[in-house]
Amino acid sequence: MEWDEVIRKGIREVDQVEIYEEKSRIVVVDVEKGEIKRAEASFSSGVGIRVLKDKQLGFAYGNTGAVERVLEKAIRGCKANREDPNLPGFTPESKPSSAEDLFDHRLDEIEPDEVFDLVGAMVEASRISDKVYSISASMEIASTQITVVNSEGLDLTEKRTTLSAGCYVSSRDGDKASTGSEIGEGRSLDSVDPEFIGRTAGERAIASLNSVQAETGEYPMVILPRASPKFLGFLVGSAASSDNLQHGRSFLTGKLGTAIGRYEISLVDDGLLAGRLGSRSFDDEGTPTRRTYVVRGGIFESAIYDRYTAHKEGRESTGNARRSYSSIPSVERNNVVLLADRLSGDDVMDVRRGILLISTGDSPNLANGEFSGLISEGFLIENGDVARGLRGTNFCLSLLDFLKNVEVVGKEVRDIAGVISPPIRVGKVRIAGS
Amino acid sequence: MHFDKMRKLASLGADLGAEFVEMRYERAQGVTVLAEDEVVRVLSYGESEGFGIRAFFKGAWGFSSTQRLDLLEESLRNAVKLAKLSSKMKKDVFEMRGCYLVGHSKLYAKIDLEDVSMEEKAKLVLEAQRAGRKLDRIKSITTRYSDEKVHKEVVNNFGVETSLDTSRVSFMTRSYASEGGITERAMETATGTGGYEIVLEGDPLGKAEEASRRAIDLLSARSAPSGKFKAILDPKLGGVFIHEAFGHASEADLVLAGMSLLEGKVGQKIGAELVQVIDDPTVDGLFGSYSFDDEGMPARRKVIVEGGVLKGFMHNLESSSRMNCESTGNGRTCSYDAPPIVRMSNTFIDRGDSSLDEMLSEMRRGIYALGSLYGYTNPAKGQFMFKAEEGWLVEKAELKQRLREVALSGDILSMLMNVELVGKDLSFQGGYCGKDGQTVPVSIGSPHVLVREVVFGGMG
Repeated sequence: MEWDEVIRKGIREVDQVEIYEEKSRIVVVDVEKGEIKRAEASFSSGVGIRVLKDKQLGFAYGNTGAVERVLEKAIRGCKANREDPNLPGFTPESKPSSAEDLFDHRLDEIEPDEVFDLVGAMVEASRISDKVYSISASMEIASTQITVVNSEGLDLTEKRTTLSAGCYVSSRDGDKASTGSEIGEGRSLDSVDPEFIGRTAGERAIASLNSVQAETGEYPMVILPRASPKFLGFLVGSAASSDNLQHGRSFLTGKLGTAIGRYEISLVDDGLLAGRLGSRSFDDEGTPTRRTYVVRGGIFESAIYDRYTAHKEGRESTGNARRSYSSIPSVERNNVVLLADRLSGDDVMDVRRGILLISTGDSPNLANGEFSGLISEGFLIENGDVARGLRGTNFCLSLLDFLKNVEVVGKEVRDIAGVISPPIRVGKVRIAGS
Repeated sequence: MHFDKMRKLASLGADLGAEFVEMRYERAQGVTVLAEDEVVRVLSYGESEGFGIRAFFKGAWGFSSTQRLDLLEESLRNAVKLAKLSSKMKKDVFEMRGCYLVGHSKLYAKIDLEDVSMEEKAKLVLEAQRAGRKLDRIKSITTRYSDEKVHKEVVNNFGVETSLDTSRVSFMTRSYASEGGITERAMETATGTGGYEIVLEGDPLGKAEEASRRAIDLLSARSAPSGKFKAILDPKLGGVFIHEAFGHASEADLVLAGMSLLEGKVGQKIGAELVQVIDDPTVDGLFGSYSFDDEGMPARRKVIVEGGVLKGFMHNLESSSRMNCESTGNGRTCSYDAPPIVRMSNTFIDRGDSSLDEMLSEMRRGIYALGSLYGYTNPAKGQFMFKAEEGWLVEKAELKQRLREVALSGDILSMLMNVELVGKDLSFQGGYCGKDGQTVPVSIGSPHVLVREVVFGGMG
């Protein structure tokens, strides 16, 4: 059934209909103990339908191709639902923004055996020493087509590709054991350097073999871009989410217009950057993406919005709706860019004694902004140099004054999961170890 | 039912040269209700179905998934081709072993999920929200109900032909309390396999009130101190502890990949004598329960640690073939479009004989940590971490000061050695566990446990 036919059928019973479709092809290659172990090639698709009648929302989804059934279930759900006076209508017809270089036909057409070569290069580069005990690696290529069509005249489609690679190395030396890892992601074949990823993972695994538990105390901490999504990404995507602010769930509630960082720092949500992971020409409700200053000159200037939360405050969506076909849209970040040129220097590592944070599996506490976590990968810094690896060491800081405590930022900017930032040094981080 | 077609294709795969072929079909449907501050944001129905096909050739795998029956043969051919291609560079070759098994299992639900209307599910969620919002200082409540009915079929060329019909429910409510610029949150859940009775018997209104009460109590909490402390873990946290600190490291696929420090440690003492660790998908009604795993192998109870000694690992068909033992029925997937890997089910520390009072009396100065937010581990490095929702600073056996969210971490090889007392109050909690991008329902369980030394990371 064509989409307009589904819509026509739907509006016989409801006021508005919206169809969101996701179609993707993925190729995955996995490595175990340095050898290719598994290859996958799959196609999938799914449809989510939202309907609206008298301020009541209905939603259903499915991947079985039975679109009419999904529509029926959505209408059924709409009738079972209650009125929500805050519901806006679906997005009117609009011209999308133009986010460039989101699609690489080479990735779209890539075959698994071509991926073997890329993965092989990553694995070989990680074998830097005979103390490398085992190498796991993975590369995934996805080519996705998103379509948003609705009864209000909106009809948008965009194709996007992503390449994600990761290398995980375990190292052993006598009874010492450690690990090192690195990841890379991008929208084109050239955006990821497999050899860099492999070599970096291997080097970290070896360098951290001789690891220590840091002494409990207060240290300056250098946060590498790899960990930035947990800091800057969380600040914009979760703490500055209008949904969290409107419900008072975020520690930034009531802080609009106040200083949350040094005046040299701005933080931008940007959906338009060419070739970036967080870019798209329109968000998942069909709103054109844009640039939003979340923090400008240290001041918390704006939240990010989807249509629902924007409507509540009588303003426009900032193009931050994100969803999969199996969920309704919610507020999420696009790219996050740290602008702090005036704090940029060559001396980001220049401390007598400090902590280098490469990654953590933890997340901040949304309610109070406290961020305590285990240093999954990290090193001591001694007299400006990377020294021994860390184990069993936790950090703790508050995201409320995180941007106030930035001392200096480095020059080498990386894009990790759409968070585009240099290394950041913050002072006065609580470190718990021995 | 797709057994006939899948059986034929499994033998076609074998004819094409694959040493092992597995065809899985899965159909799932479910309802989700999400309400925020007494407004229903989501009331949804969803359904999905598809096939996952695995082919094995000389130590390597090909995998392909499809939603379409008419593309099933093409997907199978693709999987066989990918397995052969992947095996070209493989030096570490092994054989897959399996067994003949036919079985069908259907879970009994007291109240079938389809017999309860969407209106009723939404009404229950809103009632819970009202119960939780009654309390003073509650700023916001989020409540999510979701249910799922799943039908699974597995066929392989060794003669496995099993089907499983199951259903599960999860209810989660989180309250945010606020006063004087401070906001705190707390969460309660009710989960299980079965029907709508799980949420009814799980006291959703009481759960919402409890989450609110705890969030309010936390307003007077201080940041946890940082450093090494003696600790009591409550059953929720003890469960996360055993899942993260130990469970993952004893998954045989990680051992084989050279990514677990427990490699070569079977038969060795790795914990205190009073520690027993069990993984058991056959416990009735728990969130991680099942009767056949996603490779069609029967679920069974496994003792992983007995008297502090590592007895064995958890296996799927591949790891058991490579390590020359039987599958323990731990081959699980999150969906038809992902391959089965080694996963836990309901993992717990078995009950001991101590009481909480005895544990407190062992504490001159320490932390009693309660409730769990999440946890994770790096079994190759031997580190793990988990986060408690709240805690108490204990001094001379007395609860002195309430503490907010605390981070605990430790070392896999020494943590179980540090267990000093195990309580008699075993209880379980359901949740989700992620590995290799796959999320599956599990339960974790534990009594109260007293641990000699844990690293706490806090601001205080």
